[in-house]
Amino acid sequence: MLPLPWDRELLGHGGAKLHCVTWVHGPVLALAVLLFSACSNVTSYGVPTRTALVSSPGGTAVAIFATREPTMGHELGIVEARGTLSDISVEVLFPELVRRVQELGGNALVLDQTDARFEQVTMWSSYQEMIPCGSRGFCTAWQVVPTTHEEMFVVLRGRAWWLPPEVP
Amino acid sequence: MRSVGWALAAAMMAGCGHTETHRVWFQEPPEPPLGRSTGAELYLGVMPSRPFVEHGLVQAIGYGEDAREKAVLEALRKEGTRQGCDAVVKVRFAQGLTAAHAVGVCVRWSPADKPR
Repeated sequence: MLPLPWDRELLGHGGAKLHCVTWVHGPVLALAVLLFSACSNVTSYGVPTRTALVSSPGGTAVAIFATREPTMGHELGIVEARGTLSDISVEVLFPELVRRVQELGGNALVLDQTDARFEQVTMWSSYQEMIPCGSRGFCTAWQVVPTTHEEMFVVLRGRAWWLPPEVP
Repeated sequence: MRSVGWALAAAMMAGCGHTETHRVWFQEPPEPPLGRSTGAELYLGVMPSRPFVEHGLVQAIGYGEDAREKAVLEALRKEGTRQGCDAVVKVRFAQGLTAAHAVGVCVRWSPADKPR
């Protein structure tokens, strides 16, 4: 006889405690998947190291210095943008870094580091299993197993910079 | 049963690999490479001695069989050439188990320094 949905725990043949399926598992899992898929894979921050004397308005053009430091102006803070999974392209990460520069009141970005690193990430996944139980029935059991996979993180790091207006 | 599944997956993965490229421009993309016979140069450790102008970032990511330094750097060089970069400088390469990544700064030689 198949277990009823509210029969939470049964003892299997080996004496192991089995968790049988309940009606709530499906919707909860679906909701969790939906929440995870809606999350952005980009994180960023800007840390001020010096107060901007003249704050540049949002949307100000930001000059980029990717291979050298400007000879004028001064540093305002450190900025970083990192992405993983589907958000590892420079098209996604670079505008985020520029936005952080603008937030700190900068009008230039000194790009110090563009790099990637790889991490082993362990996630717990569950699957359903039919196991003989009782005289001629089957129990549905949830097995939870760890799965490890590699994730790539792309990191752009730099400094927000304030450049004085050009003298004509 | 599980080992058969892994073997099947491994057999399906064999021979699979691809690279993808991305680019972003600091201001304007470089002019199209008209009439140039050589590809973009890659500078991994040193900077070029001739003056240049920065144009943007180019990025290449290799997966599966293309998760190798050679495949990814070649993809980066091709992307740089396609986009009109004279060179890709400050190239950084990272190797993982299932993917490889390279990124660098697309530059054009300063007009006064162009070979005639």
